[in-house]
Amino acid sequence: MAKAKTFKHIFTKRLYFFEFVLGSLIYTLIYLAIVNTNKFIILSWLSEVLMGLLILSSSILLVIATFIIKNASKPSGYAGGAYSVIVSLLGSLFVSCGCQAPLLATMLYFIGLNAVEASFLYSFFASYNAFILLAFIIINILLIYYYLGMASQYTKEGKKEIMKKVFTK
Amino acid sequence: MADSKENLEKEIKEEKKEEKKIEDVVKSLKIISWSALAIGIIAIIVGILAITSLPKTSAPTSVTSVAPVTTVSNASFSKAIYVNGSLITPSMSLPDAPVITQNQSFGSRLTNINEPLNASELAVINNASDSYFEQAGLMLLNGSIDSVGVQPQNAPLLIVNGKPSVIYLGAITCIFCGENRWAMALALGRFGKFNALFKGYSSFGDGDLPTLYWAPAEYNISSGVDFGNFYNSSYINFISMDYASPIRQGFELQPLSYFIQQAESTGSAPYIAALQLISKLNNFQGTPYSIWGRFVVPGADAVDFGNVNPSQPPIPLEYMTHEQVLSQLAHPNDMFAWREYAAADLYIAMTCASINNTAPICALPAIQKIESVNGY
Repeated sequence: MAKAKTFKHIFTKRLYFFEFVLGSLIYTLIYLAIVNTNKFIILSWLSEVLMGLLILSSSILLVIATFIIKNASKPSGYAGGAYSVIVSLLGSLFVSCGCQAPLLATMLYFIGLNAVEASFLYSFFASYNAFILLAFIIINILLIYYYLGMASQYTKEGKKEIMKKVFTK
Repeated sequence: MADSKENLEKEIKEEKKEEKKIEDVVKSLKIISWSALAIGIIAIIVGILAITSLPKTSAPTSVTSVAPVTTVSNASFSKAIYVNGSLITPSMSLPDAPVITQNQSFGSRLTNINEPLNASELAVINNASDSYFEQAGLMLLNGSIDSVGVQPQNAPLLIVNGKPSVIYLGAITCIFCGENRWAMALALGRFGKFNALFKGYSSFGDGDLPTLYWAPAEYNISSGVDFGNFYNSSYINFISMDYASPIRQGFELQPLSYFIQQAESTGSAPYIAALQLISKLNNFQGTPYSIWGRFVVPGADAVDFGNVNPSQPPIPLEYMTHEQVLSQLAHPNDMFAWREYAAADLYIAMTCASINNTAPICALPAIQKIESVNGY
């Protein structure tokens, strides 16, 4: 309950809601840029839905992480923010991994893989991109849940709940 | 007075206790969060290490099975690689992948898959008029054709039995391979003749586009490679391989090591050498992948899915039949057909530059201009 109240508390504040909208927009633009670089055609509605969910969950995570950073300067807040950015970038890369994936291939060669190794990873991502996206979304949801627990210490509602728990023990 | 002091001290003590309890909760949360982060980082490091330690035996060091072969290990872009050996001629039909004759609906159709093109259809590819290539080339040069263009990379020439080679690696399920084979066939038709080509499609999950197959495709097989073709030319060799997986599903591909293994099982030295070359070049980034003499094209050289190129379905080409595409190519009058010819022009220019412009098509002004503009 405290988590739901904390969620409401954060997202009813104009600044955080604006961050959520801006975050979603930027993640979408990054996704479209990557898709365009890969000359990718979005053929599956499932990929589109999964990517939409990933962008939404990453933006929510980003906002909650910002809230934690602002209120407590907690290093885990920075980790959550960074994770949100990385996961949306990787998700965009993997979902656009179809017949051709020049961007992903370039990155794989850059980190020192040879053509055989890169093609191994590349063919794996191309075959299982929907499952990878789903895994990212589930991790995002778990992190949101966890971060909301952390953030609830810095809201009135959350503090009350913690107090209640402490005193009832 | 004493009572209130005692009460105050009690309250302060209790508050301190509560604070400590909250601090403990926060501490444990901190520990959980940092350990989760550490686990994540360790997982990434382990993943990278696992990948880099993949067995590298898949790229053979030498080929001795069919004929004396120069290994690709010392491949430099200026030095050609010489290979002797027989190319692969596939069979004209596959019992496990028969021609499907019934009409099926767009998006999930395999109508006439693996059927050889008849003489008049084959003539569209083999006897395409030079004027169409010239016209498309000029349109490409003056900028009136969009979505066609490529930045090729350098490669050493693969000389098989005394002739330079065009190498193609694709997948029957892949949408870009499907679209790109039309332009490839037009380009190759200027240097030689196809004795047979086959009607095909990209996979249901990848647009179900009408395309040409170089050889009958194993469209039911769970995993395989369709090697070879029915192409003859006095200027070049055509080394082709398409990854085959269930056409009714989506795009699938295996790593290069799989192709190498499959090529080794055929015993064809030119095919093994071609795959060695692709592995050594370190620029494979998906399918289609082709080498036109001295030039690597890592991808399709055009995006041509109809007169309009959409980023989402419906894709116009999906709703065209082979007959409609061939009719467009026989009498080009729209952007789709001109793009295919322009894409073919780029392949022709690269091949011409690699064979010292010895083929008649290389004399076309548009081809010469494309060569000089692009520095081939």
